Amino acid sequence: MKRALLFFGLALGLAACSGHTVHRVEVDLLSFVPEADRSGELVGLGELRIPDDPAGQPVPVPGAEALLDGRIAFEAALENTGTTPATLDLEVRMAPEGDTDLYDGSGGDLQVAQQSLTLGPGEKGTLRLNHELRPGDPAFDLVKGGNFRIGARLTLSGDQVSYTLTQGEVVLRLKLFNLIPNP
Amino acid sequence: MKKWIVYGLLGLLSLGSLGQAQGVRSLGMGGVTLPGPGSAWANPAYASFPNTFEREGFRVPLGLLRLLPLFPDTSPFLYFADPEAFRQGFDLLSFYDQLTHLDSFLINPARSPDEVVFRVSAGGLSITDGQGRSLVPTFQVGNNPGKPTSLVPSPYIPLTLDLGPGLRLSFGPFLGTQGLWVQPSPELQRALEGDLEACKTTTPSPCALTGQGAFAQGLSLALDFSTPVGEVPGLGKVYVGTRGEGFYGLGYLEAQTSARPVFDGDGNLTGASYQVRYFLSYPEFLESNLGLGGGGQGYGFRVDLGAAVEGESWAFGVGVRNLLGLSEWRGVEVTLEDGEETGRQPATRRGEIFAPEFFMNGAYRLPPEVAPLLLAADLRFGAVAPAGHLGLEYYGLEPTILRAGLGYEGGFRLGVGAGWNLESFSLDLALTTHEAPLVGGPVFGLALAVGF
Repeated sequence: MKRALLFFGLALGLAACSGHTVHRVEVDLLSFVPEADRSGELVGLGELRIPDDPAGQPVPVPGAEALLDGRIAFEAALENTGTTPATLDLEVRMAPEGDTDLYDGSGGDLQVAQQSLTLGPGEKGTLRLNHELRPGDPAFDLVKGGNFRIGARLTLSGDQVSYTLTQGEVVLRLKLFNLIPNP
Repeated sequence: MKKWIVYGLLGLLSLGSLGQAQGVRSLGMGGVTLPGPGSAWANPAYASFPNTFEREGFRVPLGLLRLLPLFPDTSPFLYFADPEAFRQGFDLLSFYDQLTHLDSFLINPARSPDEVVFRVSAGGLSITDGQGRSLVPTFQVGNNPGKPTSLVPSPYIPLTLDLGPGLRLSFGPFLGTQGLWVQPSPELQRALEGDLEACKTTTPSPCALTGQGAFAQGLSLALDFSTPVGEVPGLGKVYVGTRGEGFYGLGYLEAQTSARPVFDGDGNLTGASYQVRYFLSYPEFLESNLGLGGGGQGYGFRVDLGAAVEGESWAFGVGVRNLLGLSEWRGVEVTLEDGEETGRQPATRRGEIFAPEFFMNGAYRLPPEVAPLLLAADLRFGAVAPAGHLGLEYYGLEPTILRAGLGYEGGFRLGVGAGWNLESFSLDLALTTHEAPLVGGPVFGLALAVGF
């Protein structure tokens, strides 16, 4: 993906370079999850990782020092198909490029956002995470480093729940003219 | 030191742009080139042609005003005066647009989009502006830069010697781009509009963004001859001319970069590959100073021919530049794949012997009893991007003259102008338009010429 971004970075340089131009990079993380894995059943104390690899999805951002702000959004539609109440927990985690496990609490990984939902038997609901990246946020600093990893985990405490992932997106806004040094 | 190099380069580029600037009368008539000595560069027969249709004062390069720090969107010099204001206000596209139209003050130079959106997904990538319109980078100026050409840029401030009736020798240094070209392949254009499958039909992918450019500098020596050859009954006075121009090269750089996406066996986008090839040549004696391996030699020669006819109230001419040409540069060719140098060998680049550029233009003054109108047209084709113009001038309100015209130069342009011919003073104004590079849409400009 890094080269793909650089490739289009070349086009970007030609298409628009100005002090008033903001470059918005929208990464559709959900599209990197195979179609068959975007919905299914969680049973017992099950968990679902997006992506499945504990190292998460690497996201290179050329020119990330010019980051203005950003947004991370995840959404899952859920239905309790079991016979007892179920508690679902959705968390988004990020880590530096070198970390091999986003979920072990070491190597610099951190929890960016977390949301819980309890559903009774037969009940439907939506877990929605929308985290704004702003200066001062540790996740903002991670993105500004230029290479980061991101992943989400859906954890079930209950009997059985069916899920459908409906959104997984990172949006970054950059102003490349901020990279120009003083003479 | 570096800043002075930048200043110098910008200044030279500006001069190059000025050297090719069109007259204000011409701009007001949609860019049409009128028959006369001012278009001898395109048709050597015009060097001895009477100045019946061309008449204009000194072109004021109003566009230079926009390079002053007063205009933050187009002034690179603001970077040295106020770096923060430069970072907030400078627009590279506006600067480029103004730099290539120095003969007019652009009222609304091409403006980069406020927002460029990159949508990255497993299925592909798209680039759009904030309103969802696809941004497809495409751009071309000058000749195709894929080969050297003996049509080198016109020399700056040439020394000219009159050797006899109709015979002139001129000598001077030249410097400039021979062409600049950025083009996505048709498949990439389709992919950027959402059809990524177009990129997966072959390996390597047919989707490619290719940029090419060529830059040359050297010394030019030209011998021009033009003369009237007599009256042809029923036609008019015929003029012929020829030019032989040779050059000695001081430097030549030709570069091509292309980038294309890479897919895995399942058709998933996994990255992009890059190929860069450049050829560099300069005189052998500069090798000890430059040490880039490009020491060699560059030279060239070409022949231009032209003929023109002057009737009672009309004129017409046909010119052929580079009817026969020879250009050769010896230096080094370097290739890189994904940033790694994969080849470096001595190489020779030769231009085509027969790559003529044709130019036709004419003007007709209607009988005053019919209408006080001057009509003019020109057409250029051959080894150059085709271009053509149509213009008219209305002189029924003298000393005020009104002008209008339409032209095509890669995109359509319109011109509207006016002139005032007083006894000791003349003034020409033109409102010009051209299509904004990359982003499209009309750009308006003001041009001015004064004569005493």
